[in-house]
Amino acid sequence: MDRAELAIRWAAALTQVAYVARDRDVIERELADLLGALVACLRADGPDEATGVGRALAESGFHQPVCVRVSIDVLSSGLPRLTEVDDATRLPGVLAALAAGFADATRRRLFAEQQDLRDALVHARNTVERDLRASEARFGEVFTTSALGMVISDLGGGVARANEALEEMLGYKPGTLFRKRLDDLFHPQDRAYLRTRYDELADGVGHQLDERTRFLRADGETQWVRVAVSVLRDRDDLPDHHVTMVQDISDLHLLEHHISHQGTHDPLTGLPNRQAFVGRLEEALGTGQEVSVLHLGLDDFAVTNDGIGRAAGDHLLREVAARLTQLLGEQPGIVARLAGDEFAMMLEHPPGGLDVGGVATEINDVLSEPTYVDGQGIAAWATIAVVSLPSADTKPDELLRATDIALRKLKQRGRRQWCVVDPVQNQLYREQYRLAATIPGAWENGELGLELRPVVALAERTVVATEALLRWEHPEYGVLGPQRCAELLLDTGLSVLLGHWVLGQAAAAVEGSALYLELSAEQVADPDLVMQVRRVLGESGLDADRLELGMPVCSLSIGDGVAEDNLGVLVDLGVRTVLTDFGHTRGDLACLEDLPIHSVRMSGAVVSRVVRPDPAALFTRSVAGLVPMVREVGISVLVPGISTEEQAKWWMGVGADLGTGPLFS
Amino acid sequence: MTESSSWVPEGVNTELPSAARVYDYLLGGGHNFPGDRALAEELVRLLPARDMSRLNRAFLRRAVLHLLDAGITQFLDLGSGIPTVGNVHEIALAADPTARVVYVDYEPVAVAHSEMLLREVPNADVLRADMREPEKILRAPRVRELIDLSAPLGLLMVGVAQFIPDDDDPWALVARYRDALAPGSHLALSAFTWDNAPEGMAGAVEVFRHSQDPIFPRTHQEILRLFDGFELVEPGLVYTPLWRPERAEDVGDNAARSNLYAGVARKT
Ligand SMILES: C[S@@+](CC[C@H](N)C(=O)[O-])C[C@H]1O[C@@H](n2cnc3c(N)ncnc32)[C@H](O)[C@@H]1O
Repeated sequence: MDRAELAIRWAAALTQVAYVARDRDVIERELADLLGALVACLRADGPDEATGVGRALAESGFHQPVCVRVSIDVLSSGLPRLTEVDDATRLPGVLAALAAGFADATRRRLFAEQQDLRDALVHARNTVERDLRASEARFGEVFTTSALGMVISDLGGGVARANEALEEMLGYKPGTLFRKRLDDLFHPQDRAYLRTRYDELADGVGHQLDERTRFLRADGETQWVRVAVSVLRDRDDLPDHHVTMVQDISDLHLLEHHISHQGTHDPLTGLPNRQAFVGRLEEALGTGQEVSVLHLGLDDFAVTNDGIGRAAGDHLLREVAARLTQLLGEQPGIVARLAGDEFAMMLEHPPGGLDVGGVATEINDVLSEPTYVDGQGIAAWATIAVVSLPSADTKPDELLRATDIALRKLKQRGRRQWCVVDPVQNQLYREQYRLAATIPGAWENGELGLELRPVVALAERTVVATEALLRWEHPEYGVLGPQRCAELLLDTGLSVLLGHWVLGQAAAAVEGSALYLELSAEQVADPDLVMQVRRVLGESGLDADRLELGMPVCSLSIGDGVAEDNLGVLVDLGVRTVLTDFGHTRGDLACLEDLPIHSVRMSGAVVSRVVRPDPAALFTRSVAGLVPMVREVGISVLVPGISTEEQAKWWMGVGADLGTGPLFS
Repeated sequence: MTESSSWVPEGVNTELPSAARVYDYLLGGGHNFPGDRALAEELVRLLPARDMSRLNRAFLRRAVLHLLDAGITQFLDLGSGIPTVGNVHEIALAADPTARVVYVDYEPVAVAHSEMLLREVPNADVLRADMREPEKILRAPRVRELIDLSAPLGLLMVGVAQFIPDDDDPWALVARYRDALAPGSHLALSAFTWDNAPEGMAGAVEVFRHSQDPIFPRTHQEILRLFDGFELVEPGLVYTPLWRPERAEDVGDNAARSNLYAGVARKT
């Protein structure tokens, strides 16, 4: 595919969802130019240039949120197919940067639009028109229409009128704000400064007031806002009121954690952002201070955010920020919000040393105290990875990457966990990253290949299908098995591209046997999955019902429905579907009722826990009860990792019908 | 609220949704109230209302470009709405800097925003009036200043005819405008129809009953009669995406989902 073709597809997709008043040719040319810039980013310039592209897109009129979604859909599948792109490893970074630029431009646009409105308001009020009543009507109209908070105050700061948007933003009941004084809305630390600036404006000595600052919400919390202030004059042209336009800069976008790199603070919580944290940590390490870093990931944050609502999620994040800040108190150190539901704390060690375990426990204690949103109590728990006394040559980014992996691993084990990332392990992680970074090269050099394993019917011991997995013949380390490859891929953003490649290779390799292949969560949620499967089936001649695709339970039980859609279409194609990683919770059973599934593959963790089954143990009994329930509704149960006869017998005894593992190879 | 009494807008009802603000919301604009947004969301459940709006707005642009091609340089836009993307004066002035445009709407928010937008534009103006009063509109000084009725005029009634009930006789109304226009003038008109999705449309009628602008969708035949005394240009009265599409593929396989018929006609 060439650039012009992709531009046409992009334009078609965008004009399906948004209207821009220009000829299609013009739009296509503009988009082709943007594609040029993106290609340059993929090749060399680095992703940051892509923020400019995101900005340009929004500024060209495609500013609705749906436009960035549509664009990312088109680009994530289209860009790698451009003939001029031979290496798509930078793609995720480039798209994230594009999204960030877009969000930034949208924010500016909203602000500019509202500034127009504010102007309209001032205009309507100041212009002495023949029909004064009509002008005031219009003034009121604009005032109430505005999506932005607006407040009119007299020169002494008495609030004459505030609109509902402002009351809502600051958590006041409608119609109650006008009794307040404007200065009471200012954050105590900014109060004196703002008052001076307001006075200067009224005296005609100050220049325009337009800046980011803090307000106080009704409940005393800090609210980050951007304010723009102008002066209303009476009929004799004397100043008599201030009009303040207030924009909530905490609540703007989908992608705010992407935008935050533009400042040093996270607009939602007011905490320092990742960049600021890294800077501070670098400084501490550079000057030889003894520190510990705690990296926190909130558990089940999505449940609050998706379940109760975005506003509740935001509230919870602010609350967590406040409590962590309070916990840090006067101790030397820093609390930051790294991303979405991730926070970090760096503590300098006092002379007597620091009990980091104690701090971790304390964090979960203070977080578990519920906070109330609309009468609903919500609480947060965190999983915490700790690095104690990292050596002076540690790179902050690497450290955070190590804790990030540790967090992910911990979360698989449950909630409210904490662990220390030890230096040896840290070293391993670093190697892991180094290794992951060389995957694209290895792919190109033909070091990546397939490992084929039989899937066996437990009773007859006949081979019913071939499982294909990725393996890497590393020139230095020897063969890296599928498990290792999967871990490494997690960190590359390549799992979708490589996954599709494995699918194609495997379909050609199995020659007539049924093929069993497990997809990654990312792949399952990839809008291109169905197209890839269709293509592979067509090219290889494999019958759809001889292809069994495994999809992780977790990718299907949450999310935006893409995975479910993919599943549905694949089943329509005749492909057989396997739910993988099954059996962690009984909730997994719900998936079986709701989705068209042919088999389940038990989770490896479950299998290894019942290697030597103790018939009295609760876990064993629960698994023994689960399998027959699944089989009863006609769904196959595949048990991975079987290495002994004893294991095979036990699983067969509880009703499982298929297996894989060393025993059969 | 100490000073608010004099600001409470008269004749503006923020509780009761208005078509102008609903349309603005559906096109992605920000000049609307919660009630307007709620009504729009209800509509979206009944009909592809976002597509309908977008396709109608795109028809407006193609129609204006066509009229410019036909040599029209002055436009009267009845029911012009809240200025959003692709306003008539922007399209016209880009093609011909001497073009002139007068907008007419009866909705105060739409008029206030138009006024703001046009402050610096000498060739365009907005009049707050009810389009059911053609004589008043055509005699208004703001209109006379920019528009010469002895020369051909582009009369736009895009996405508005459905707001005129049968009782107010839209057919006679168009005729009154027509009689005042010079030969060579054009009428561009689009309007809601029952023909494609009678049930969804019936739902929409119900929804709009709780707004300032109840709607009266019509059949192809009824809308065609609005063009009496004019001569329709190709391709006649068709669903909006079918009216001289910019690209064949823009039409899609379901042009009828636009639920609006559109046509352009010439007074002979
Ligand atoms: C759906 S909008 C159409 C805007 C624009 N013509 C377009 O097609 O993009 C309809 C507009 O007609 C206005 N309107 C409805 N009935 C009207 C009347 N009797 N007089 C003037 N304007 C009217 C509404 O206020 C609204 O702004």
